[in-house]
Amino acid sequence: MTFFEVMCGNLLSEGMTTIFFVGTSILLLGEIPYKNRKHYYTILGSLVLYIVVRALIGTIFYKTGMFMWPHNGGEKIFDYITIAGCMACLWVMYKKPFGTCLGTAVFLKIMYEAGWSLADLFAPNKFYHLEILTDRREYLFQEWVMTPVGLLLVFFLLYKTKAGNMFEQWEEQKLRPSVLVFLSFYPILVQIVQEFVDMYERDTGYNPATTIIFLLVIYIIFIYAGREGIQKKRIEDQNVSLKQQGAYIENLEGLQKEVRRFRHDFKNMMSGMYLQAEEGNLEAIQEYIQEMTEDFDLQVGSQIRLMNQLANIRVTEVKGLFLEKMKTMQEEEIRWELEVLKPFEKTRLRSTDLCRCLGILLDNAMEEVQGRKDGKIHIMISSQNGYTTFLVKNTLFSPVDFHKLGMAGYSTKGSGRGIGLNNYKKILEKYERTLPLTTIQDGYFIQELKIQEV
Amino acid sequence: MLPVYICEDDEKIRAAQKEYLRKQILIEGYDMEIVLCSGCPEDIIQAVKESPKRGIYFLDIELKGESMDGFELGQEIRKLDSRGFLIYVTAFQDLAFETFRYHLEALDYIVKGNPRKMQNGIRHCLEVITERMHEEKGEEREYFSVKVMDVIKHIPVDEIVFFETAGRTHRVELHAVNDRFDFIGSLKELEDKFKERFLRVHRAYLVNVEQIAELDLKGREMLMKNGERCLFARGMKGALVEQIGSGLKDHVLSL
Repeated sequence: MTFFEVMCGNLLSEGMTTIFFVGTSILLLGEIPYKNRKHYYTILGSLVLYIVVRALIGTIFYKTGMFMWPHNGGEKIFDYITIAGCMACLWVMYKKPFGTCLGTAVFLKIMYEAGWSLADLFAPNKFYHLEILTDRREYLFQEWVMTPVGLLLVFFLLYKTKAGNMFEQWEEQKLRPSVLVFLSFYPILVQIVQEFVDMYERDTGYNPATTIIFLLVIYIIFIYAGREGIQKKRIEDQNVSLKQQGAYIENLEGLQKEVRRFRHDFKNMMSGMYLQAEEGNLEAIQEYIQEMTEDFDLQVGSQIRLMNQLANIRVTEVKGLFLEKMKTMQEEEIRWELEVLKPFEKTRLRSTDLCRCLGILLDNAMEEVQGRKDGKIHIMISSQNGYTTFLVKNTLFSPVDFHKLGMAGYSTKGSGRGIGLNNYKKILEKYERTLPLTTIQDGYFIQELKIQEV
Repeated sequence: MLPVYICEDDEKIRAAQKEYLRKQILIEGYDMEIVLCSGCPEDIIQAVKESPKRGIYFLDIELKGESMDGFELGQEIRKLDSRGFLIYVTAFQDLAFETFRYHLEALDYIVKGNPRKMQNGIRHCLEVITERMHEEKGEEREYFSVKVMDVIKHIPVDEIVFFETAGRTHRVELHAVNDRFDFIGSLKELEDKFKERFLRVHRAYLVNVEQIAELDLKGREMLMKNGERCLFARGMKGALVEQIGSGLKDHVLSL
């Protein structure tokens, strides 16, 4: 075939390839933002230039026999020219940063090859002697019917799987340099894998390429699963922080009410103090100041205090539990205090188990003081020197039969209850170096849970 | 003579505390003496090291610009003086006192914002300390002290009902009138320790003889005063009947 004939054929197939490229990139990156006629012409011009240059280089490579170089060298060079040209076109069309252009160009190339390979499945006989009429017909059918069908199929798949959205996310994440380097090695890597396949062709049943592909698939699955786990955790964290914000807002509203009330008192006190000052009664003024600071501490301080303590619980799940219980206790008007002197960062127990244990202890304490005016719950979390202690202390009203405590079905609150402490013990039995302690002291029922962390 | 220490970083408050304490000790004739008032925790530790003795400590919690806070100072003092009286002085009412009591066995805390209240607090503390000292003198109660992870529990021996081997090795379950917990130890050691008052009635039980309420000789089981039941070995029958004495014998025989 003459140079001219090859060139014409190439121009046609390059045109087809370019249409696929442009179509797919619109699918992936969205509409081309051409602002005016000039930009439009620039794009058109660069695309035509791309087609012509590629066709020309392809023809030259073919004619000089560069496509026959060992290890597909010529073809690889041609691939790089394709990618570079594609990047340039993408840049002209979208003006996206270099990384995105490279990523998209490589992706387009992969997709093109996928489509091409799909078409290739139907042509087991890869080599055609264009001089023979049947072969030439088959070749033309392959080139002009099957290949477009394959490409369309890929296009359709991308469209159906909403690849655009995925691509958008991917684009937002800012590709790291290492990823870009990996992508730019794509043609060479393909060659390596291909040679692996060829090299081990004779050994049936084993091929490194298969292993590599599977490794890749498993890796992707793992990453995906890990992502999902992280996302779940994040959602949980967000829920807790939402709850916490809700509690904060409620608290602030309460605080505001109290401050308003205090402001009212404060004005009265000030005028009283003013009168005393006029008379020069220093002692009375001192008393006034005393009273005022105490009032302030009593009325406004308690809410702030509680929030300070809660802030020291750094284990999200436990914090969530306390926020929930706090709400219930406020509703039931149970007096309670929380002490977390030093930040509680982490513990050896699984947080679900820990929350169940603490929930049981808190529920028991709440049930005991429910509806009692003089009842009080005191909670302490202490983590230091490698030990974590949870102490739940409540005023005791009903006598406790110690030896039955923790047995299934026993409860001071009548029959059919008392599953709680039994479960609590069962959970703790799973762990080494954890101890439940029970004490009755000065009219308080005290439950302790101690964990040795190291 | 109980030495009194004050650690407070505010000079004025320190002086006021000292003055009031001095007066109060004089008026009430307490057997106490102010040894050192300082803003520096190291000074206090040094002084206690030099003359280790049971003391009274008034400690500020927020020590500005010092290497440790009141809590850490308390921990250091506890290492040197395990039976001393720790009283914490704070400007805020949001003191985590339960934590202080739990870890340091602190006696009480005083809010220092109001001079009159502070004085009341000091007076009250001194009263409580004297009362405690007095009680301790008269009391001959024996305590069983055992380390449970990072704290030490003191249980009156007469309140212990029995020890039981827990499911796990080296763990012993303590059953007392008001306490129930596990600790690391062995029944053999405890048996040697409480030779007279406790009886190893079974491989798994070491019981306080005074806490036995009834014996079921047939079922080889005993009912304790708190309602719990323990087993006893066949060979222990004679020893038990003998130990418990005639007072219980009639009751036992009636079973």
